Amino acid sequence: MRQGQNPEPPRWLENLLTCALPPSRQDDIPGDLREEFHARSVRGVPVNLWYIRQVAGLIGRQLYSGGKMRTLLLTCCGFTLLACVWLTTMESILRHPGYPSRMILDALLGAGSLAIGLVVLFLATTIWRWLALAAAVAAGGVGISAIVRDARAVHFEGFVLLIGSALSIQAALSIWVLVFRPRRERT
Amino acid sequence: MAETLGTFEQAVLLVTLRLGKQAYGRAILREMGETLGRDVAAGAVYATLARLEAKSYVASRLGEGTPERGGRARRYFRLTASGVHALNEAKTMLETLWQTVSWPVGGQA
Repeated sequence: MRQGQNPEPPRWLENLLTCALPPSRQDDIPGDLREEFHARSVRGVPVNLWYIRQVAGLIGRQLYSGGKMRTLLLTCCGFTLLACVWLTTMESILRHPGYPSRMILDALLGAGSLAIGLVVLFLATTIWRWLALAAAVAAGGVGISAIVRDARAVHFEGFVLLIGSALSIQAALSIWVLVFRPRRERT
Repeated sequence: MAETLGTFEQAVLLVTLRLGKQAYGRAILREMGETLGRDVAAGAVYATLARLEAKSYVASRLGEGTPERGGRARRYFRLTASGVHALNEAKTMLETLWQTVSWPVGGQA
């Protein structure tokens, strides 16, 4: 904040808050915080830390405000993301035959999980929701086919069943959170 | 009988009632801080207002923006008849409860 200018909160933080809020509150809540920021700045009260605390608190509440299914989906996305990072790392270390294509698939699945999480948290626009949903359904398909292949294989691998199941559950939760929940919110 | 109100919900409703036509988000937040004598988290106030609105205890409408707000609209809140009823019921219930003991409360230990 420069002297002589109208005091304003950090733009990136305000944008982050706006993205995290439901569409109906994207105008008034950032406006209230901006007004309070202005009033506190004029009084000479340290204000940046106060603003960061309010934004962090509001985003934190948004994480849980969508109900259990949303929290469950975000947890699932976190798990599959970590699992994909682990799989990619292991493929690069062990270098079994055909590892480059599997590494690419693992990296894509991880990127998909990250994208779904970000869309659920920050992007309420329809186009991003449908893209995230497409990624989730594709990942779910990969998960189910991995489970089927694992069940038919000579050596059963427990981690394939675990990660495949997580991807399938992630797809089901994504359909619920990204398709059905927004419809319920509109009514 | 109306649903039992929590202490924070009662505080938000009372502040909204006291502010009258000036009850918008930031004013409620400031008044809450002054009434409770501490910095109140904006998230807690907005979450409570959203819950009260879902229960139809308050209603809201959008108003004009100001330059300090970057032109963003204000959301004004007002108590509904159900909200007033719930507040009255909460006070009556508390008073009934307090009548059963002598004030100030003495410890048994």
